[in-house]
Amino acid sequence: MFKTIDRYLAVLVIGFKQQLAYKKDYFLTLGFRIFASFIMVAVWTAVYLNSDVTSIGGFTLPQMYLYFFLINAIAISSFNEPISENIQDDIQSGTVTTALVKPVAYTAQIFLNSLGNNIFAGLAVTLPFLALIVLIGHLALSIQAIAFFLIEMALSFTVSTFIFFMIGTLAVYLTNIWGIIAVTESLYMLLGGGVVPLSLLPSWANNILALLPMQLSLYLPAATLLGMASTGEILQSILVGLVWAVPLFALSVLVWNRVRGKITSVGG
Amino acid sequence: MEDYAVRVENVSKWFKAHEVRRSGSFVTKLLRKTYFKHALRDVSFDIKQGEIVALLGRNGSGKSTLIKILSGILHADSGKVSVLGLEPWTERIELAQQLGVVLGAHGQLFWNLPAVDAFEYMRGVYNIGQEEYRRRLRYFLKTLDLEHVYSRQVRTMSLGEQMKCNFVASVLHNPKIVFLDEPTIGVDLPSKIALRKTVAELQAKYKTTFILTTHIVEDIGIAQRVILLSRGKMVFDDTRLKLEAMFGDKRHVELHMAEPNHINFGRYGKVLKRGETTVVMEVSKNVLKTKNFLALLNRKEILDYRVAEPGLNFILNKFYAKLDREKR
Amino acid sequence: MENRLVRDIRFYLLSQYYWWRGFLVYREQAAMWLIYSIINTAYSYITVAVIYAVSSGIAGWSYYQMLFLVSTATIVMNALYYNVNINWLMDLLRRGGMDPYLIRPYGRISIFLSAQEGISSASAILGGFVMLLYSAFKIGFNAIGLLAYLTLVVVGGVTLVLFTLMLIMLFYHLLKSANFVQRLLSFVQQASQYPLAVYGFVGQLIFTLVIPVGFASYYPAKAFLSSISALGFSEAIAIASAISIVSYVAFNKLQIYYTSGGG
Repeated sequence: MFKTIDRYLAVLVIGFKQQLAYKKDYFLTLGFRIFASFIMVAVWTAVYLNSDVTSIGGFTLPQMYLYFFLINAIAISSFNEPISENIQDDIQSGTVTTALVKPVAYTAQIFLNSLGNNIFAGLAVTLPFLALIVLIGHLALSIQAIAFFLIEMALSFTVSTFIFFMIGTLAVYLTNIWGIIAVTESLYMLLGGGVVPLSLLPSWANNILALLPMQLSLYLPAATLLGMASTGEILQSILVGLVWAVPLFALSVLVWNRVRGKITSVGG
Repeated sequence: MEDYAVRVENVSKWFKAHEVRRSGSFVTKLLRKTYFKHALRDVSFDIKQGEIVALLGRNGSGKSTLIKILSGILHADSGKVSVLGLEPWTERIELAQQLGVVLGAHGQLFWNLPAVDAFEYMRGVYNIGQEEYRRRLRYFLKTLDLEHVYSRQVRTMSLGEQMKCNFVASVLHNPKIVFLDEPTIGVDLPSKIALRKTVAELQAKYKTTFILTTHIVEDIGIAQRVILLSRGKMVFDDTRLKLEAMFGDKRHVELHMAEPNHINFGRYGKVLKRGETTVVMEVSKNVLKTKNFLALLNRKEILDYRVAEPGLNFILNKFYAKLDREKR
Repeated sequence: MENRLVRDIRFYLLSQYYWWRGFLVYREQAAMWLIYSIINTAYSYITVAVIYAVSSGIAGWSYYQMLFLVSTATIVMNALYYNVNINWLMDLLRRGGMDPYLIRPYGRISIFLSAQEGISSASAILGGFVMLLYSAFKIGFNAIGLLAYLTLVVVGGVTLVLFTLMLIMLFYHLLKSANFVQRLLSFVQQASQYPLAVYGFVGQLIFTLVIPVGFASYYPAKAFLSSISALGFSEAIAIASAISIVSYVAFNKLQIYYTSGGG
C-alpha cells in the first residue's frame, strides 16, 4: 500500500518541481496580475467618484480594490495549469498512449500533476501576495476564515479539475477544441466572479450562481478573506460544491472510460 | 553580362551563443555569458552560371549558414557576396525573384491544403504567366511522377512526395539559381532519383545554377564540382572526380570464406571489417598485383572475392580524419 | 513596375486567402469560430453592462458611448492578433522557420504578416463589429466624426502592428521568448477597453507614448463622439505616425540579429 502512495506522491512532487524551472515565469505572471488589478482600481475609482456613492453591491471602494487584488492573487495558483490544453496536446501527439501504460492512472497523473503545480504556485506566489494584501488592507483574519478559505480552494480545485478534464477529452472527437476551451475558461471566470464581484449581478443571476460550484474559485474565497461572506453563505457554497463534486467525479470517470476505449481501439 | 552566378570573397560569420541558464531572474538571464561560434571563416569561391555544385560538410561545418547568406536570409559579418550580380542582404527582394531555395520537406506548402494550392499560390507570389505556369507544372508533374499526388492534402503525403512537391513549389518560377538544402534526407530512393534527374534536366535546358548542400554521398553524383567545408573553412574546391581520386590509390577487397579461420590478413593491407566468414580490407593498388596477394586469393579457404574502388563516403571520412589529425 | 507597397499589399491579401482556405478545410473549426465570436462578444461587455446597471458609470461616457469604446478596442486589438500571432512568430524566428518566407520577393513587414495567421482572433472582430454598429446607431453620428474615427483607427491600428512587430524582434534578439510581449499585450488589451482618462495623466501617457494603444481605441472613439479638437486630432495622427516610423526603422535594423536557428 505504501508503494502506491509512493508512486502517486512522486507524480505530485514532479509537478511541484517542474514549476521550479519556471520561476521567472511566475514573476512575470505576478507582475502583470498586479498591473491588471490596477486597471480595475482605476476604473472602479472613476465609477464610485462619478456615482458619488460609498458602496456598490455591498462593496466599499477600498473593498473593491482589495477584491480585485485578492482574486488575481488566487487566480495565479487556481488558474495555473491549462489542463484542457495539456490533455488536448497529449491526445493529438499520441503521448497519451504511453501515459496509459504507466503504473499511475492517467487521470490521477493529470490530477496530481496539476495539484503539484498549483500547490507550488500557491506557496511561492499566492501566499506571499495574499499576505501582503492582508497586511496592506488591514484585513482581520480569523482562524475560521482561513480554514474556510482553504476548504474553498481545495473544493474549487477538485471541481474545476473534473470539468476541465472532461473538456480536454473532447480532443478525441474533434481535431481542434481551442474555441471550446476558450469559451469554458471565459465562462468559468465570469461565473466565478473574476470579471465583476458576483454581488453586483442581478438577483436572478445570483440565485442561479448559488446553485453552481464556480463561485468557489474566486468570489467566495475573496469574500471570505474580506470578511464579507456570512458563515451561512460559506457553508451553503461548500455544500453546493460537495454536491457537485460527486456527480462530476462520476461523470469524469464515465467519460474517461469511454474516451480511453476510443483511444486504444484506434491504436492511439 | 554577368558570367558568374555566385562570387564569394573572404566571407566570415560568427554566431553569439549563450551559456544557457535555466534558473535565475530576468536580470541574470540578460547578463549570461556569451561566447562566439565561428560558423564561416574566410570562405572564397566563384561559381559560373549553369554549374551544379555540391556543398559538402559535416553538421556544423557552415554549409547551411553559407546558403542562407547567399539567399539574403543571413548577413555575413565580413567579406563580399554577390549572387547574380546582386548583394543578397541589401538587394534581397530583387534577388528573390530569380532565386529558388528548397528548404526542408514542406517549407513552401500549406499543411492542410492540397499541394496544387501551394503551386497556385506561388504563381501569384512570383507573378508567373498562365501559359508558362501550366507548361512548367505539366513538366514537373510528369518528371517527378506527381500526377496522382499533387491534388492531395500535404499532411497525407509521404516525406518523398512532400519533398518533390516542395521542390516544384520552389522552382516553379524558373529561377536562375537554385539552392537545395539537404534535399533528400529521409526520402525514398525512387523520389531521390527523380529529383536528381530533374535537376540535371533543368541545368541542361535553362542553364540553371544549382548549389546543393548535403552529407548524403549519392546526391553528389549530379554535381561536377564539390566544395567541402570543415568547421567553417573551405578545405576542398575542385571537381568531384578529383575528390574521388584523392584516396584513389586504394582498393577495397571483400573476401568470402568457407568457414572461420585464422588467416592474418593484416599482412596485405588494413582490415576494415572482419566477420565470421567475411573480410573487408583496404589494399594499395600495387599490392593487388603482387604474387603474394594473388597467392592469398588462390587459397582454398577463399570462396569468392570482390574488388572495388572505395565509395565516396569512405573517401570523405578519410578526408575528415586527415583534417582532424591536422587540427591537432 | 508596380509600386512596392501595392505589391506587398497584394502579396499580403493573397496569403490571407490561402490561410483562410486552410482554416476552412475543417468545417468544425469554422463552427467553433462562430460560436466563440458570439460568446466572446458578450463576455467583453459584461463589465461595462454591470457597471452601468449598478451605477452612473464613468464620467463623460454614456452607456452606449462606453460600448462603442469597448467595441473599438476589441476590434483593433484582435485585428492586431489576427495579423501578428505572437507565439507563432516567435517560434518561427527561433527555429529558423522564417527562412522559406524570407526568400520571397517582398518587403519584410508583409512577409512577417503573411508567414503566420491569427484567424481565431478574427472571430472576436466579427462580434465586436456587430456591437460597434449597434452602439453607433444608438449614439447617432455625423460624417466628420465618422471620417476622423476611421482615419485614426487605421493609423492607430497600423502603428500598433508595427510597434508589436518591432517588440517581437527586440525580444527575439534579447531573450528568444515571447512571454513578456504576450502578457504585455494582454494587459494593454484590457486597459484599452476603458477611457484612458481614468488612468490619470501618467497612465494616459503610458498608453499613448510607451505602448501606442491609445491611438487605436481611445482617441478614435473620442473623435467619433466629436470630443476631440482638430488640433488634438492632428497631434494624434502626427505622434502615431512618428511612432510608426520609429518602429518600422527599428524593426528593420533588428533584422540583422536573425540567426535562423544557428547560434
